[in-house]
Amino acid sequence: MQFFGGSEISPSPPVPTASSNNAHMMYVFNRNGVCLLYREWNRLLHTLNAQQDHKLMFGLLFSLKSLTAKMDPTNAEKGNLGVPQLSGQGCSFHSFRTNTYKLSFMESPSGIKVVQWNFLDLGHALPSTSGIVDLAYGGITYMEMIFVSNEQAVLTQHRKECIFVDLGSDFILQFIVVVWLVDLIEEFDHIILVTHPRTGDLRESLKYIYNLYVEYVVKNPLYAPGTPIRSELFNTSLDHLYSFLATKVQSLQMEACSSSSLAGIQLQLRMSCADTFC
Amino acid sequence: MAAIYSLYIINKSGGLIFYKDYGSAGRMDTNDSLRVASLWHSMHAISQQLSPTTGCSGIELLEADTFDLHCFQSLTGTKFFVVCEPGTQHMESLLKVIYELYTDYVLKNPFYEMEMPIRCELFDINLSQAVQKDRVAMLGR
Amino acid sequence: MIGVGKIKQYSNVLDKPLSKGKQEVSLSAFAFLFSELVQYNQTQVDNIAELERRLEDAGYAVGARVLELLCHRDKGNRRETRLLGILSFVHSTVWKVLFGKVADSLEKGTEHEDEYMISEKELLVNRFISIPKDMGTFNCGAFVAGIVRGVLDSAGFPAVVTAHFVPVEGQQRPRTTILIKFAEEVLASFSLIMTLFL
Repeated sequence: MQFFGGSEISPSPPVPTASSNNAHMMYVFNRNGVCLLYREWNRLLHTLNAQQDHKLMFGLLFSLKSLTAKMDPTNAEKGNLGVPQLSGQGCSFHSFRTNTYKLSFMESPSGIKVVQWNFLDLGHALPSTSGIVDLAYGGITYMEMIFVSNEQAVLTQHRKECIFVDLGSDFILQFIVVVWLVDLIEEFDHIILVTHPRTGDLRESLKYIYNLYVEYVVKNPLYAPGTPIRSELFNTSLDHLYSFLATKVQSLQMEACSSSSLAGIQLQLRMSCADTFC
Repeated sequence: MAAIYSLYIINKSGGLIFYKDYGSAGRMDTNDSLRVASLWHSMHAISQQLSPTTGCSGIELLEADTFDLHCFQSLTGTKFFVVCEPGTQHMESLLKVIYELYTDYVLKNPFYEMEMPIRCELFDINLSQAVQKDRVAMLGR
Repeated sequence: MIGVGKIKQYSNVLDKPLSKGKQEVSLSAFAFLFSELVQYNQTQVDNIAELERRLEDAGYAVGARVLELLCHRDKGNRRETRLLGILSFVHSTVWKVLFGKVADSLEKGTEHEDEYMISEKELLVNRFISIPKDMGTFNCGAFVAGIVRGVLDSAGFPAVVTAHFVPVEGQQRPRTTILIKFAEEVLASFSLIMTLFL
């Protein structure tokens, strides 16, 4: 090709400035497509009314699931497109990403539950150099969330695994992800989580939110399965999670910008983590 | 094992205009691939509606249990997507290479009718080279 | 950006030095224009031979002009009069101006005295073109054949020029051969000159 100008192709429209993008949304659906819970923080754009929005979201998830089941390149027996699949059957998906948000999805054994989330501006979070878990800032706030929960004496289950991810330099901070084993298996549904486009794998965070759901909603004797969730405790802990995200990420950004030694912060974090978990 | 399972090109109204399989188990027949393409077209559009902020251009990456799906949409609405092994690198750049091949060997071909299925020998030859090259680059890593 | 950077003004247009010509042109722009040319002509014809003829005619006009231009620019307004001279002029000078390179080969036909072949591994006009199966042996190189015919004809060497795909062993793509068959009188005058010389 001999072009006059640069040969760089950039047909995508410019990505909107990430700094304004700290919208978070969260959906919980049961298997029949009833939206049990919808929360939003800083959502700027409402193209549809709430009911249509939920319907569309559930439809999207349902169709994407049948699409991935049909497209599964490792399985020759795929059945027909659009046939409803039992949970755990066929190839499902765990996340998708657009230029403005990332949606993560998880299903529990009993049905469908959607948790959609958009983390704060993670524009500065660079891709992880370590391949294990890539939560960047999200990971730190997630860890903080565990502190809060501990104060409220909620997480009484055994610790399942503890992953240290040593992220390299360049503004990436170190964090710990703890996955809690949930003993209680009752009315389980599917869980989905959506984040900022540049966040990494959030399946662990989904498990965490699912854990909260089990604690506050499923274990609540006053909650009738299949009805909208009106648990104050659950909502408060979600708000905590959000506000922690907002403040923590901001302060960490400022601190990391002003501090010449990022290693110091990393060390502090590591120590506080060790205090809490060991 | 193949790193790339298959490649689809969809025109702006959701019709499948190119489909190539690189060795996935249980190939899809023509009807199924057409259905999958139009389903993806509508999923892509819905994902834009659900965005919490403005300026959403649709799904770029779908991570499923057994595969990743990378999608690239050109300004004219033509969508290119590859199905590959989970975690396969450099798919965005591969899609751009494929887009470039499309503009060269399909759009500049006087015998190609717009929005119709692609049957261009030169496109096929160069495409298989591009996919091969990509595979080689990954093996050498 | 015509005129930008040209500070020196000439009072007389004849004082201006001869333009060297633009060295580079966008390949994409050319490819799209050529594609449109083929598509337009396709709507005007009902068979392939007719399409080939129309492309050749389009090329003929280019060839005639190119000869004028290059004689003026490179040869000091002198035209090539020898048969081999004009053939190598086409093979090197014309090819270089039009396609940025010398043609891959120039050969004399083995079967007939009056046949010459210019071969090109990948003709520029065919760079992005895939011929559909139902069009058989049609070659968009007909346009280039027309250019060659235009040059030869205007230089006083009337000939029939055609473009063909020739398969090459070990190559996925066939090469294109421009077959030049000179008219009888050219060969006659050529041999006359030769006899006069000998």
